[in-house]
Amino acid sequence: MNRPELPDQELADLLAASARGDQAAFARVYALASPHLLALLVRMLKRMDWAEEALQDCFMRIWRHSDSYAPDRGSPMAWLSTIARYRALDLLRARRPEIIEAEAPDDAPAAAEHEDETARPDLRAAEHEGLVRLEGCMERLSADERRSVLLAYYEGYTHSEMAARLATPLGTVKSWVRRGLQQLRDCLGSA
Amino acid sequence: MDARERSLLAGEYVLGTLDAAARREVDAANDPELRRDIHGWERHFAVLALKLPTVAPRPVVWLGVMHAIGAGARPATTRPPRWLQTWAALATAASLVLGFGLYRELRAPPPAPMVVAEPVAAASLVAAIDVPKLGVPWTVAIVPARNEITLHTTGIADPAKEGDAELWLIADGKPVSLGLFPKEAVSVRRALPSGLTFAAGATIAVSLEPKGGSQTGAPTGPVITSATLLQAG
Repeated sequence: MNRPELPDQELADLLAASARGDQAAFARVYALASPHLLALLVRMLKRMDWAEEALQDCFMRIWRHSDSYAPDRGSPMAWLSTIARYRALDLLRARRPEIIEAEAPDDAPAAAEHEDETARPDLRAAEHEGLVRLEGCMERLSADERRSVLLAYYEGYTHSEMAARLATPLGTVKSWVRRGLQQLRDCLGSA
Repeated sequence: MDARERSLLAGEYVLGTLDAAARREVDAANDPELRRDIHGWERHFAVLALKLPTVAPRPVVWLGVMHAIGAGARPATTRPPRWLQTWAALATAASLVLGFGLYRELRAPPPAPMVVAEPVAAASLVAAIDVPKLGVPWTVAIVPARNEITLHTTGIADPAKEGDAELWLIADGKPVSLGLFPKEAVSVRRALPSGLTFAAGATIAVSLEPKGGSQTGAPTGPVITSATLLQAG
């Protein structure tokens, strides 16, 4: 998307205006955030029709809850993407059997790790910094740990789904995720 | 639960790997520190979402959002209707490609009017008018029973320079003015001209006119975009 990027403060102001019922501000929020949110929803849900329906749900929620954004939730865009991700997780929980059937048997996390270069110019500076930091810390994880964290993030797998998908015992998968998180926590500091 | 254990639980919650029961427990927990850890992981991981190549939603999605939140009112807490799915098939018709940025180059005649479908006992008819330069479509909602039209716009970049954007209904191949678009970002509701019949499938179009709109009763400037009216329940 080739659109001018707004600083976080401006997006935060737009959310505040939306909370007061300002539909024009809300439209700007939609214009700025929807392409990012849809990217995540398509990635997680695999189907454009579900993703667009989920996107509509998200913006209903954002309209209702735009007053609950606060800076401790991260950048406004991070907060918005979190709303989208939880919506996708809910839908995956409800629809997972269909999705697993629809899914191509490729190696999803490999794709996840190679998608970054084209998208990076689209990130705001603060987000780019956060990404560099997270990816720097991800480097320290073993391949299994990194893969299981990324699988969980992008595919929304539960421990048991991931165990089935990777044909690996549940206990092993759980400890990959936990060790991965532990190392990220040590590396990132504040989580 | 020690700090490490709490942070790992928060991380698993944010990743979504917990089973339903464990997830519910976290949801129900009234633990500010756990909540803070969850927010911390949300912040850290959000960059993974934002690094994906963006995907632009079709205008019909925004139209669905606008429809669901209503004009000027805060929405009820019920879920939006499922009519969006029905619209998927119509979405191509609703998506238009020309914007203000292109109008100067555009000298083609107005698009041929679509065959007007059978009139439907309509609650409302809606259309998304795509204005790509703005990134978000304007929407038009018509309630024939109340003789009312609502326009949602996001404003145009340089209101002073551009003249006025005028909305037309193409009825029996002839354009009938439905009034001017506001230049600022607003929602306005107006009465419709009397004696018009509206039906799903009808074409509406936007032309660029001198300030105050066309004086001839027909578009005099370039048609910059058009859209199809869709049934909205």
